[in-house]
Amino acid sequence: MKEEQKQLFHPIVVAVTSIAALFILALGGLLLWNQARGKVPMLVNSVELKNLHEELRHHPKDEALKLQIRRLDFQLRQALFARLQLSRNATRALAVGVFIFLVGAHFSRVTRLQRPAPRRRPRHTHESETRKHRIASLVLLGVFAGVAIAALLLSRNPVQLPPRGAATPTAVAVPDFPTPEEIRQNWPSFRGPNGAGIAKTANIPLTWDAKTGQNIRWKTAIPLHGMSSPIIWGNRVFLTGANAQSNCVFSFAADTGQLLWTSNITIPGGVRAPAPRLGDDTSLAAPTPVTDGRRIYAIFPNGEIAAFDFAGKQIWARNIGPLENSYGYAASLAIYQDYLFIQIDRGAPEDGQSKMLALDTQTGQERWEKPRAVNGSWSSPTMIEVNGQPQLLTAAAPLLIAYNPLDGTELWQLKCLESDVAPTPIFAAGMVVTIAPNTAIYGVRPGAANFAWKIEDGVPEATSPISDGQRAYIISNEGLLNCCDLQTGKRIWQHEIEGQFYASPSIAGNALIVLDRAGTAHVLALGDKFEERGQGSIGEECGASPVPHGNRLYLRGKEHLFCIEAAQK
Amino acid sequence: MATALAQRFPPPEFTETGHQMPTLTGFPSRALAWDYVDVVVLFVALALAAWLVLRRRSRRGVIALSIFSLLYFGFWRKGCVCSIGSMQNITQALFDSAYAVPLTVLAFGVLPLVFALFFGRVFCAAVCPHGAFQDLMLLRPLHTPTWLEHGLRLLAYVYLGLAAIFAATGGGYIICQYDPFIALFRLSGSLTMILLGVGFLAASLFIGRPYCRFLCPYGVLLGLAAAVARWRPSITPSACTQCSRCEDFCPFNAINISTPKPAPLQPPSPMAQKIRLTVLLLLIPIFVGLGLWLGDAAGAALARKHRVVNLAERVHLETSGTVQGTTEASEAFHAAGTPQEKLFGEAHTLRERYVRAGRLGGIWVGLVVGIKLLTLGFRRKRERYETDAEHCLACARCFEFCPQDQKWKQILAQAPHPVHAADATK
Repeated sequence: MKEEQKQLFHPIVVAVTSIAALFILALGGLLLWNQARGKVPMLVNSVELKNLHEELRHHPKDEALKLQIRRLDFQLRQALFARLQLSRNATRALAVGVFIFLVGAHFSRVTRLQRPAPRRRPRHTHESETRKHRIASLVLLGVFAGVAIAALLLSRNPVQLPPRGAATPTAVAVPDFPTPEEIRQNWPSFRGPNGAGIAKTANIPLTWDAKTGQNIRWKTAIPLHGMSSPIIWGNRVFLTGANAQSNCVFSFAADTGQLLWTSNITIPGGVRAPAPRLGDDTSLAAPTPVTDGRRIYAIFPNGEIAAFDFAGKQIWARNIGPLENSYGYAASLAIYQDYLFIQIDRGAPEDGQSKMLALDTQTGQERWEKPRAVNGSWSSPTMIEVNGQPQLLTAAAPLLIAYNPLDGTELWQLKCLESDVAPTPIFAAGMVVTIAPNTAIYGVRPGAANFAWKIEDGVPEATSPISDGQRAYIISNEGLLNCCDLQTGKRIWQHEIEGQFYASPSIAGNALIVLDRAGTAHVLALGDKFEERGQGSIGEECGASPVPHGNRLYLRGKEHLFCIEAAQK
Repeated sequence: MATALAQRFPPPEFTETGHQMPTLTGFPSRALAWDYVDVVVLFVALALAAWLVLRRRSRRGVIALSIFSLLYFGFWRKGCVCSIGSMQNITQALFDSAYAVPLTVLAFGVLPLVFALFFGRVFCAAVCPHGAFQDLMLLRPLHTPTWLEHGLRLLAYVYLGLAAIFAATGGGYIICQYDPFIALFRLSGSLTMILLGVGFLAASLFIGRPYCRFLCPYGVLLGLAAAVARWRPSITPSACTQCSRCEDFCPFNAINISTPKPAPLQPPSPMAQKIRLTVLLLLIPIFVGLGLWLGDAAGAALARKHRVVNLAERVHLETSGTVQGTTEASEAFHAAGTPQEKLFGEAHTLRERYVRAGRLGGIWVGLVVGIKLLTLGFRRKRERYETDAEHCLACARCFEFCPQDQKWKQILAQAPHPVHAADATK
């Protein structure tokens, strides 16, 4: 560039560069100020919005308040997006400013009339270089010392975690679970103690009628739909019900039927998982809850599980992940000491989605988890006792599996099941009776390599078997009732009862109760021949299992909970 | 670039405010082919940089390529994948058999190193967007004292050790997390990172490439490779006149001066030299031991950066009542119901891994300090001004200010047929 051109351009370039520098400083400052004010927090931390939300909690149906919240939320969002846009535009302008400044600054050097001369520096001598290197060595050591100090400061006050295998404070809590006697006196889970469906001392009326009120002690409306069966502890009856918005546990007074409390599961700090979409044949509250007399535990198909105390206060709650399967999740909970068991069978064995989960009843924390190479199932886990050893019995195609409830170790298994397993296996007099729907009923001795017997006639889809210790009774969904020898599987009698049967039968004293879908129960005699002793109807669709307890029989209809008891004369 | 997305759920209707929901849009994932294009562009840029520096000796060419790299790898590719960060992927792949490093990332990590082995740090010269950004900002370079330069350079080795520890243990990619220029390339980021980037750029106006010289962990690896490079940038294409202009105008303190002769009356004693050598050699294992001890002490503390260890410590403090309240992570942990023993067990395993990695990192830093002290104690004899192969960023500034280079360029411009300056020097 010629000298004249330099003279002409230099002041212009310097002016442009200076203006660009000022522009950068001003805009940069503005941007930093805007950034420092925060963006999203203005929406999240709005005190006004928080106050309004708080007020809405107290007046949940105040439509005007809701409208006010929406408007304010909208205004805040508009302001937020306007600020974001401003920030974006300013950033672009800043980038342009920096570019102009850089180009200008470089050109200002090019157009300078005087080229920069080399700096005057002292001559390098051997001594000066040696001195420099000595100082450099010292500085290097200084930096190393700085790094060392930083490392030592970092390592100060380490958090001492409990050593491996040490029990945590929650885990060392005093065991808090019922005695076997307490369990026998109540009906704490699906199909009662040991999942056998038997109340040996129960003495229920032989007939009843909801229309006339005959032997109906009370009848109470159930707030939410569900297919789960009632459970009993002391003078309380517990039920679950759910819809797309709520997963609820209900507590009723056993004597009066009064609804004492309703508790909805609230996952701490979490958003409620959406409920799966299900057909009409099932419900969002199909699994039966379980109780240990201290707490009630309930699970729902959206993965929520919770524990409530007897006053309805939620003790813990968590979401264990999706439980969706093709007909909706139906496996009821089982309990042993302070272990709560959840059978999650989904998909095909190769999908790896099925597992058995054990939680701590007091905290809901996981005790153990075991994968299961099984198909999706709708059967429930059952606690049984084999030669004094507690076993957790489960059924899902293709395996009947027994676990050690304390650590999930597999004790034995037998490959005999197929299809969609819904019936829950039972254990009586040394024999497990399990059902492969529409295929076969099997008698299996625990731990045996093969089944002891097999029946291919009158195999149910959904109902579970029952046994009085000598005989097994199995009713198919179409009403074909088979009575066979428990040890040999040899048929003793067979009788067809009109109706559709989804509810698993129960035994009260010496009476077998089979309940059809229309709500009519048949009270039959246990024994080597078919004998119907009575009938009762609640006049409502019914899918839950009958619950005999003391002198009463509890039945869950589609809309009401019934308590049946012989009227006092 | 934006594509319309399907709404998974029906959008709400804002009847009161009349707000119209904007069409949901998203960005299509970048085609894999573009990743290969990036690798090709990287290769071509590296080859071009090597040619510009070693054959053409063109500072202008280097500037032009720097601008391209800044725009392409920086602003267009948003600074990712970058070679600096890719070494973390490679480190993780070395220690975690479950992790497979993508081939393109591998190429970004390895290609500049291979070029450095043959041609010096040509990647730093004009291909790295981070370097290009700082280099283009440099207006009035201030001379950094040699003693300070040597001290600060150690930080890059420490940073490299830390980055390797975190990548190898699954603690995260700290080079990416604390990359000061990413927020600027993306025109978006946290205030801290933007300020950090602006701070580095502001410093770059007066200090030549502060990040590259004092922090860049990849630069350490490139420097080690370049130290043994077959072909390196030479300041002058012919005889050095020892005018010292290159030393004055190198903003990176990467010129090794010709060795001044000792005063005739004070020749260095061979015995003193031997004693010094022995002492300095003995210092190496001492520093290695010190580093091992420090790494061992810091390992468990570094483990806190891992989310599992951090959560375990928080949960333990909450459970023991040392701290009040919960964090979002601890709340989620409590809600999930996972046994604390399981969390603590995992945390113990991770801590042990960090301690092992910390020891290795400490050994590395100790070794570097020991060797640096040794090299500072003994200088090679040089007859002329030379580029410091390890620290020369091949920016080609010294060519521009070398009177011999200027002279050769004038001769070449008048030559009847094209001759390269490098050829002319033979």
